[in-house]
Amino acid sequence: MRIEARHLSWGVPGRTIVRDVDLVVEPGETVGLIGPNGSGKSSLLRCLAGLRAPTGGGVRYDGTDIAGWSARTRARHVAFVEQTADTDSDLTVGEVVVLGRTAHGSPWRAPDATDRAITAAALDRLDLTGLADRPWTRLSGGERQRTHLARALAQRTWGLLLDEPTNHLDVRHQLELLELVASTRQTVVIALHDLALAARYCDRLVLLHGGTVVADGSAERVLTRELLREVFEVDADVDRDDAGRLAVAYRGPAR
Amino acid sequence: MADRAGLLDPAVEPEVTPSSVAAPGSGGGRRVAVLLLSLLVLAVSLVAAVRVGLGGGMGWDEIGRAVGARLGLPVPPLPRLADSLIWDLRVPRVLLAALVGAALAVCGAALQSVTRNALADPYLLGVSSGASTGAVVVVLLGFAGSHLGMTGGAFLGALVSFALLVFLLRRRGLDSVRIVLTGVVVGQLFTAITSLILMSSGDADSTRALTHWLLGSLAPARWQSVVLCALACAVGLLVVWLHSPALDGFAFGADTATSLGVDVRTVRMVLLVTTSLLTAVAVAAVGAIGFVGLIVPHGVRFLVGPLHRVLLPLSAVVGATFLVWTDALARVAFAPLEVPVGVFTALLGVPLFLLILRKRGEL
Repeated sequence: MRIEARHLSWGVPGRTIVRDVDLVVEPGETVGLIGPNGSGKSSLLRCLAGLRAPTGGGVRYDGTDIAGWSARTRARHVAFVEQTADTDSDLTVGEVVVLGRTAHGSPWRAPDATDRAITAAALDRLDLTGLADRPWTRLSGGERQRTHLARALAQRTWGLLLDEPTNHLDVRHQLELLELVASTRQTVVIALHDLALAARYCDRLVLLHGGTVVADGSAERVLTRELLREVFEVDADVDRDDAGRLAVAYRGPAR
Repeated sequence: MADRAGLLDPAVEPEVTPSSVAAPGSGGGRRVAVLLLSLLVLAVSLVAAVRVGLGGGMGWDEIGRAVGARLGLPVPPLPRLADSLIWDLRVPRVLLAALVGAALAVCGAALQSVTRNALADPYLLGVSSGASTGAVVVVLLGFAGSHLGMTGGAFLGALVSFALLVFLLRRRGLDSVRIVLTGVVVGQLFTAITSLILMSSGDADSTRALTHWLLGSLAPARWQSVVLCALACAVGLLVVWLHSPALDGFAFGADTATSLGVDVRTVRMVLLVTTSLLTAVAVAAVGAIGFVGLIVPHGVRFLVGPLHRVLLPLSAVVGATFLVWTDALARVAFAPLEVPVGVFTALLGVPLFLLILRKRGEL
């Protein structure tokens, strides 16, 4: 699925948070959304997911403007994982993942055998099968994050919008998750803080600053010393290691 | 890990073979068993509660004859007074207790999910305060003589307070915190109006009558209110139950619920209207019986987990059973003096609530 934003703006009264963003994500592409805190990554993702109505411009899935789509229709096209979505309810991991099936079939029905099979596959994919019956309140931060991703996969959508899904994950699970995301055939927009991981696993990077896109392209084009200094206010060396992977070495805050 | 069956690939139609079904979160069988068992307990409770505290030397025989006569069975007829006592007072009272208990418990469970607030109960939205204002106005205007007058006034008052709530919520979205705060404000306003009216023009008698009514009492139960409550429950509980998947989706907040495909604003509005009307019918019939709507859902969640498909029907059955028994207790504990049932729901509810919190390790 192709996800497009055209002249997209969104804000709260008195403050524009996303400003005139043009973005095209081709089918099957994995695009990394990077930028400092408050640059508008989460808000842009929410607009792309249709959770916020744009104050200007619009969002298209496969060329169709999603304004006026029902939540149900949107949920069959894209799945969204919030940065932190917590609950004090005692749902088990399996029960959370099966929530991903909510938009499928009639709104009143109970999960059937197909839903349970899909849920089991999603749990398996995220290495959560052994935790299926564990209540949410007894999960670690990383297990919660993986549960949300499993729930998003169970939604079986062509679009995946992920807001810093690697938060709270240990290194191994970060790499596993990013490998999984990069290997899917789905169209993925993923907000990431770790620039080296973003460079390694994303097909393309989009750099946000003050709600606008300041760079869009390959990791080499986006992660330059000049842009890192201007946007992130850090001094850093960007090099290639022996295997040709892009490496970002920070020297310190920009002076 | 491989997804051999392609179950997660949106390009592949999911094909389910029996071997690929490893049901996570099993225990469905246990939930059904709990529900059936609780239905049995309710049925026994309904019959037993009719018998409890039945004076005048009456027992099972008289109950059997009173009910049997209605069912067209060839039983020797009862004396008129005894028959009326059982059929016109006791039976509707027990049935009304069950209906009100079910309604309050289900409304509480639904509102706890809609507002994402564990302390939510059916009176959170100020409906009971509106009802008391309506009731006191009717009492002071002198229509209280007929039971219908007070019930009608309370129902109108509840509707007015709910209309105000919706009016205040109309613009900005139905954010859960806003719902709670607005409900509290509306409730406080109507409580103040009630106090003002009572202070300025109430006498000792009407104040006492109103206090009694506010604590809740099933003594005035008649067939008329049973029929009305039964109709409201049938429609209301079905509407709430049909929204079970949406209520489950609310667990992680509005954004995640929306991304799952739940039309959050519409569902919230439908459920606010349904629970408010149901609560209004209950409060108008028997006053503001507290605590049932708060503790029953928590107790049931502790037993069968938070999924509303199971939680809601079981809450209805447990709420019904709980109120049937507390009302029986309210009748006999200090007989012949009758204590408002709301006093007993709180007296029994508080220790039960603490017990649940303790079991959950939250205390």
